[in-house]
Amino acid sequence: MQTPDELESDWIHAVFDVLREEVISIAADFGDRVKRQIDQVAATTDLRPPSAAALLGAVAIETTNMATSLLPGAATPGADHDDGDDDDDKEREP
Amino acid sequence: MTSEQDDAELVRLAAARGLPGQLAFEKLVDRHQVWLVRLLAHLLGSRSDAEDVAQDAFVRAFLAIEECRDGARFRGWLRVMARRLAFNHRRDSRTRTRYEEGSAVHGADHFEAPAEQLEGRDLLEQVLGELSYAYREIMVLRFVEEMPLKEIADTLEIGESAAKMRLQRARGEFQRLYERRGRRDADTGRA
Repeated sequence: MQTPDELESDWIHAVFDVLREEVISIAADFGDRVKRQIDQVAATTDLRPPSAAALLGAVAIETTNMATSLLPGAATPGADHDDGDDDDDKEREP
Repeated sequence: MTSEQDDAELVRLAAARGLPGQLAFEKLVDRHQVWLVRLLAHLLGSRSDAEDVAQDAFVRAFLAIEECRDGARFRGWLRVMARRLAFNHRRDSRTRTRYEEGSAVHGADHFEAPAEQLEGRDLLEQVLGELSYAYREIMVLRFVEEMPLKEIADTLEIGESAAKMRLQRARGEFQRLYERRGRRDADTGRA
């Protein structure tokens, strides 16, 4: 036999059907937004090495530097050993 | 492999940090985002607020993943964290008044006239909005999430007897407000 409390719960339970059955859609990019923020947090808090994207970006910059140094007129002796440090270039400038 | 075991493994990997840990945590995000946003939407009454708080909860969970001692219960752990953030979010936006503690008193007066036009979901939302946040919260956990009392107590970080008392009072207040609209019988078919 149900107690008065349980009877009230049954009644209220029925009232809440509408919320229980409701489908709440989330923004299509919600997961991506969360992951982007986590990626930023992870990078800034040093919780992991640079992400694959960051590594690829670094390689691209390095490749560009190397290609630039190989262009006629841009190359200087020892340029193929250049680590891209701007200070080195400045030291060679007249 | 059960979902709990999957969560436990992902939490273990995430706690080990590094890129694999981050990727493991992102799988947890994929798995738990829908129910979390749904819960928060019901607590806060706004999907956009729910997404903001859910995002914050995931980031904080990621930063504190080592503190999740039982990875199989990641969902409960995340829910406690999200509930705290939702509480703070609502507290910080009190000027918006909809969920203020005192809104029940003022709201009841304001809703006298239009209440008769409200039905179903709108009426329910209106009544929930009039409840104090603590009451709304426990009503959502019990009657929307259908959580047992023990789990509610764990989520609210209070004792089981305190949760029972709060639920009893919330239910009484909900009933009073709902009946005030005179829609109870019409909506439920109860004689």
